[in-house]
Amino acid sequence: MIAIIDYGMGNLGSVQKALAYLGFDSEITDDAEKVLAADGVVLPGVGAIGAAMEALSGKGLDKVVHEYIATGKPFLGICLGMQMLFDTSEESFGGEPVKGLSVLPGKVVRFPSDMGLKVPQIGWNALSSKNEILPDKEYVYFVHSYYCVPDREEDVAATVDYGIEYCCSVRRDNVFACQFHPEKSGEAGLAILHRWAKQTKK
Amino acid sequence: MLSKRIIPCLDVKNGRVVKGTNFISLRDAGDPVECAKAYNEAGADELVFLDISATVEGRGTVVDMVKSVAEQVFIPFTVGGGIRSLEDIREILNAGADKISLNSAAVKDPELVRRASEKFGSQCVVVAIDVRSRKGGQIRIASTDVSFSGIDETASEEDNEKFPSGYEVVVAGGTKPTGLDALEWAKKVEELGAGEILLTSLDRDGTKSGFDNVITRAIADAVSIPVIASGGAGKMEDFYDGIVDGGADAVLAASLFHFGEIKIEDLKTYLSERGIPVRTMTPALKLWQSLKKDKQGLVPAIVVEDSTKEVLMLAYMDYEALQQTMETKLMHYHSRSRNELWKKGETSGHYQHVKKFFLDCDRDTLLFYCDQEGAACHTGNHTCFFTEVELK
Repeated sequence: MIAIIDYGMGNLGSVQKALAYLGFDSEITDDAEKVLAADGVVLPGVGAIGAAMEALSGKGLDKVVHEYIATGKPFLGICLGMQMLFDTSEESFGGEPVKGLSVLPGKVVRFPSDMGLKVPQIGWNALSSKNEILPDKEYVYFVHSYYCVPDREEDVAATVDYGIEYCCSVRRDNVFACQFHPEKSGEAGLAILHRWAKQTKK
Repeated sequence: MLSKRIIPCLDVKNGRVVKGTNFISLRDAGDPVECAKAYNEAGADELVFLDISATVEGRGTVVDMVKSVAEQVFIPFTVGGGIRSLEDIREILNAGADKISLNSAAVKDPELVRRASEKFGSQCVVVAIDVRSRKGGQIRIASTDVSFSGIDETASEEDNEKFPSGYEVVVAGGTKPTGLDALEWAKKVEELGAGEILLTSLDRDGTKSGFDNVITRAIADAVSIPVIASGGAGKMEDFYDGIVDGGADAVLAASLFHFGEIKIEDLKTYLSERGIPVRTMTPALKLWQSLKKDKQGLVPAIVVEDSTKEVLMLAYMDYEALQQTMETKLMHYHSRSRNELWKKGETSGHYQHVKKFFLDCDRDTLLFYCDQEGAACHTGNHTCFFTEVELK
């Protein structure tokens, strides 16, 4: 069973539907015990990181995420769920920079405003990957205004070019996360999701 | 680089597609799921479903349609038409749509755009803006729009001052002028929190004379959110012009794709050859997408020895296995017992070198001709099929 963490924001159904399509059972839950007992955990998310962190902490799920990751079982962060893994985000919340979960060292910053980029980046962009987890040159779907800057180069699993070349996926031990939406990236995305989900059935 | 999106629009009435995918013969051409799948396979980057149901009951069927599509198709899709309230939006998003589009409801109550984007996030709020040119003191008539009466007798120089961009926002399929300047309205909806603008020129809609690149460019330059150009595309150049001259981030068409006059794949090749970034798929992915998978999402692979034509084994592939096989020309499978990628020969040294491979007529099985090193079967037999069953 895969647990999809529900912290009361956004539509979590797409991830569940994609997993079901691939033959994996999942449950959308905010129950700490269920999360900790799961064979795999997905932290999804859309919207503002400040509100998301507040909702997560409000339910005590920030600690649960740490506790779960410490078990060594597969963990997947998607979009905002990737951004929340870092130390801080410059996305303002009540005038203050937002503190993240600090699972990985690094920060989250906004696309530069002086390069004529459309923000948010919406659409399909090609991955640049030198490892076996993510396919090089495959197109995946992005919707976001902020991006992650990991402190450690070795955490970077893939990058993408949007005027600037930035990190769009990280991997460290059992933690895997992507800025793009594998559940919305057609067959390419389903394959990435499948590759991750397979680990939960070992 | 971010690719320019090609978006087919499907008209839906009472939960059935009335204009969708005439380009391919489907068992049920009115089934939204079948149509969405067909467009997904054809390479569409995103889909728009436009609900044109005239009745409340008809509109009620949209939520069920969205649910079915979301269970089977995993590219982003937008639902528009008849969405009036936050409750409507919530229902459609919860059913699995990625975005909703607001048209006349936004004109009627601009604050709905703000509330929707605050509640659900800008990324899922598309504002559809239908425009007509107001130059020369009259509204131009689109050839397809029979319900529109024609010249606006009240238009005057004063009116022209009201529309500095030269374009007016219209609603109700172009039958109702709103008095709003198109460019001003576009800037306003961005400010209100819209995540994207779907801009349709009703002068051009159905004319096949190309997108209205003047207003598209004006709006694309004035806002920082993506603009989808719609209305008027008739040939491949029109899409190129919409992107290059109009500055559109995405291009949308309905009939053209529906009747197969332009194939999305050909359009992408055309644009790509002219330097426009479009989403392409690797050969392995393209093949995988076209295959019929079993309930576990796998495809059976039969292996035949190339020199003797002896059948050696049957195993299963997922996308990763197919991709690795095509890349390395060594057979890879998905191990169902270990739930992982299985490179044949990795532990035994009994590699299988692919010489050629074939597709089954139903696209649900693959047949590989290989050179087998050592034995194919883990028992040490050359073939896995060494146990003959007596036939009585």
